Amino acid sequence: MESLFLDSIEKVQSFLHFIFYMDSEHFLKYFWSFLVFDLPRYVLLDFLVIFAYLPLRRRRARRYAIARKQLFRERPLVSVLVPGKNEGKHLAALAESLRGQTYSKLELIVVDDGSDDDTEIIGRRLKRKGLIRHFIRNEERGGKASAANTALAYAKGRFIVHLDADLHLNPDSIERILIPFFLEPAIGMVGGDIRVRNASDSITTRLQAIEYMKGISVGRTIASMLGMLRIVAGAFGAFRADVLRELKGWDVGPGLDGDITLKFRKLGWRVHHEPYAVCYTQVPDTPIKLAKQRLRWDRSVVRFRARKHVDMLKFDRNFRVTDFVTVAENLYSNIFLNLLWWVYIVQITVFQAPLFPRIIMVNYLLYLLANIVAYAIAIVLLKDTVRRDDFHLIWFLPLMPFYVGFFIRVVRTYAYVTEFLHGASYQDPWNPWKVSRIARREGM
Amino acid sequence: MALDPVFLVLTHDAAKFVPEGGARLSPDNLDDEMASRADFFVLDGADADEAMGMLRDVRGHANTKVYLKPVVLGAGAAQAHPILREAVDAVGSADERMHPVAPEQEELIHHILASKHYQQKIPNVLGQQQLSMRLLRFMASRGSMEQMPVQTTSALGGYSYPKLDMFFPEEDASIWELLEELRKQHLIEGRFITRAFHCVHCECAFLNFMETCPDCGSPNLESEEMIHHFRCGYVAAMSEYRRGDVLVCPKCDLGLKHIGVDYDKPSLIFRCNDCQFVFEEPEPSTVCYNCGRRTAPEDQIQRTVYAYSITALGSNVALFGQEQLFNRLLKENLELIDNESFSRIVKMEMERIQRYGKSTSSLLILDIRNLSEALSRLGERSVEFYRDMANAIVAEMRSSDMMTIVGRSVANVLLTETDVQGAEAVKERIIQRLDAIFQEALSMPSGAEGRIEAVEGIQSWDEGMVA
Ligand SMILES: [Zn+2]
Ligand SMILES: [Zn+2]
Ligand SMILES: [Zn+2]
Repeated sequence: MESLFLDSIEKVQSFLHFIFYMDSEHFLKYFWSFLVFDLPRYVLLDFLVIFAYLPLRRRRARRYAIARKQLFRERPLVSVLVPGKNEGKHLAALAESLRGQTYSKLELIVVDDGSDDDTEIIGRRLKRKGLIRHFIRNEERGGKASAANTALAYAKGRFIVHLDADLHLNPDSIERILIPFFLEPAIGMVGGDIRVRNASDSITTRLQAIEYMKGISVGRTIASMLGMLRIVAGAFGAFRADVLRELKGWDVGPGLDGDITLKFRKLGWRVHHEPYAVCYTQVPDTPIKLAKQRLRWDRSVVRFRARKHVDMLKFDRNFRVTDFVTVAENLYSNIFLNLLWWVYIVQITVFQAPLFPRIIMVNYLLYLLANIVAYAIAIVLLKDTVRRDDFHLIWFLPLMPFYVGFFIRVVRTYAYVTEFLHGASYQDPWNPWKVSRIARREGM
Repeated sequence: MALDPVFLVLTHDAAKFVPEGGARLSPDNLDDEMASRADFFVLDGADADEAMGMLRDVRGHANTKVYLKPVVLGAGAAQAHPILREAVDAVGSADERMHPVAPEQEELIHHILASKHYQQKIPNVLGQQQLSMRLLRFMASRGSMEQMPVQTTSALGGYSYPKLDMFFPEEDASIWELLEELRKQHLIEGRFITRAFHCVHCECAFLNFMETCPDCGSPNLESEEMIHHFRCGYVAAMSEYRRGDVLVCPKCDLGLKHIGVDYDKPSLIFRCNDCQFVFEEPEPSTVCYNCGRRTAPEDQIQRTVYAYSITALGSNVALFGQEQLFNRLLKENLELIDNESFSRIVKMEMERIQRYGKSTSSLLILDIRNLSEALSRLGERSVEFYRDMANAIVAEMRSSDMMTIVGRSVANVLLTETDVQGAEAVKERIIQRLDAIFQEALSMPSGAEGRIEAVEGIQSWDEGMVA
């Protein structure tokens, strides 16, 4: 008993010795993955929220108030497009929540993309009640992009809000997503802040809630400030209708959100993330469901950024530094970093095998610290839009290094490898066969 | 003393020729004793409108012997009028010098004159207001003849029941409601002919159905097919794709080749030429040709058009004036409920059993074959007889059981918490009791037969299934 205790003490001592008596050269050698890539990207950059974003926002408070006044004075019509399949069950709640918005000059356009449930009946009933302006039924599914484009054909608004049917909004969400257009005329597109609605369902959902706060709320706010936002959530995004029309709407693909964002940028429009335009989404509650969702998302990265928008990396007359950085950073962070991470794993398992447990332990502590910092910054940023439940997430931070460092990375790697080798997303159930078959043939 | 004329020629023309055996009568003199004694009336056929007016005078008269009398349409231009031909009992010979009735029509006239309803000395106190009673008597006196609806543009309702219409003032649409009321009371029964829309404001059947703009109501619309280009996901009206003779995608500049292969047409898009509103579905609307009012089709009256004939119950009521026989029974006997409530309860019971699956209830469908004959033999005593029968059935029922009466001879009984064997026993006991009542009152068997259904085994319930 006593010897066991002494043994433990000894282990802790040697571990502390390992940390505190390591020279910086070794430290870098053992932990370069964290120090070179994750520290600057996920921790140092986050401090910009405290030192740049929030002060800037405070300085602009008056301008923000003026922009808001202008919105309510001009009262432009806003078309809310809700394309989707089998979303009927969400429509009544959605229509009600739109009626409760502080900004009320809205028209709701629902496209029923080949639903095989009661969506048609529900939609027609809501239309008769005047809660839906247009309800368009496609007998056969055409895919997300075509459904959104169908809705666009009916839209009369000066701004278009694209919304997933199952999202929940705050009463001021629409108002807040519109104000940036009046704050800066160069803004063509605004993304809403997606939060997790069912965080308390399971550990899987809690970890995603933390991930969304870090990645979307904080990450996109900073990217937007730096002019490097590469994706605006299709789930809740606002667009200038004239630009969307000029682009002739959304393109076919699994990740149509990122695609349309880059197209706006190519036309010279600024893309903005608004952390206080909140929407709540239901996230997968088991690891299997989550893995499937992420596979779909990650494959689109390869397909669209690597294949379709590779021209943003070319030095021609349309070249812009921010665009270049955006796409390069995206490829870098998603594909290159993922590759390096495997290099790192190989290095510490093969070459530093004897030190492996200690290196893993230190890495864990570093990433845990990084997560705590990121979480704290997210809480500071989101202020009064933070819900009580969000504070309880703090107890799940110790799981985050496993979640991000292992689960997400494995899924992502699998997605990239299969997409590169087989072009797997063409067989994705995301699009009906008639559409994916063409995309595959055209090498899109 | 001169013999009474066999027939009377109704005419406003004082110089009208009358064949042998007949006499002239002005329609103003229908109150004359002579009018009720003659065998039949002949309408002066010179003018259709006048003939129609005289027929209305006859059918609208207070005296049974006048308004039930057979009417023959006499020679003249009016014989060509299609509705009038149907409205009279018979179309007479085309030559006014001949006897107005052809030999083959004589039987029909005698049949009417011989009917109990014509012969019965019915007090005339009922007068004009008892229109339903007069209709029933008329239908009963014409025996098993069905009153067929005739499609016509000359009636506001689009259909006319030519014989029955003559009981109503011109342009009166209340005949629809009255017939429906009688049908619901099982005094007459309807055979489905068709369905028809009627204006909710004026009952007019002539409605202009049109597609209109949901925003401004204008019918001045254009519609186009939407085209979805698979390759780029673009969706727009076909005109956007049209470049000369070919279709080219305005988004990706590629020509469209084959529908279903590289593009399809998922829906239609409409544009209003008056207010420029763009929409997915025009609003159907109707404008009434008579009153000019615009109404949504679902707000118009949609009716079933039936061919009507009288039931044994109706015939009985026509004789004895117990118009509310059935309704009175419903009120008197608490265990007897109306058809609609019964259907509702059976449905609830079905759903309850389907949900919990543990109870067994049975439905007894009892057809008392000889009831019609019994009612027509019993006349005024029908009510008592009916009550005895109801009591006999109720005696075998428990307090939670329920009964309704459908049509002229069918009783439906819901036996709750009773399985099929139990129900068979109840059925046998009820039939025994009914036979006893029939024997006692009429010395005849009831002819009752029963069928048992387990409630949970009924696939779908509607009133018609067991009627
Ligand atoms: Zn195209
Ligand atoms: Zn219009
Ligand atoms: Zn009318």
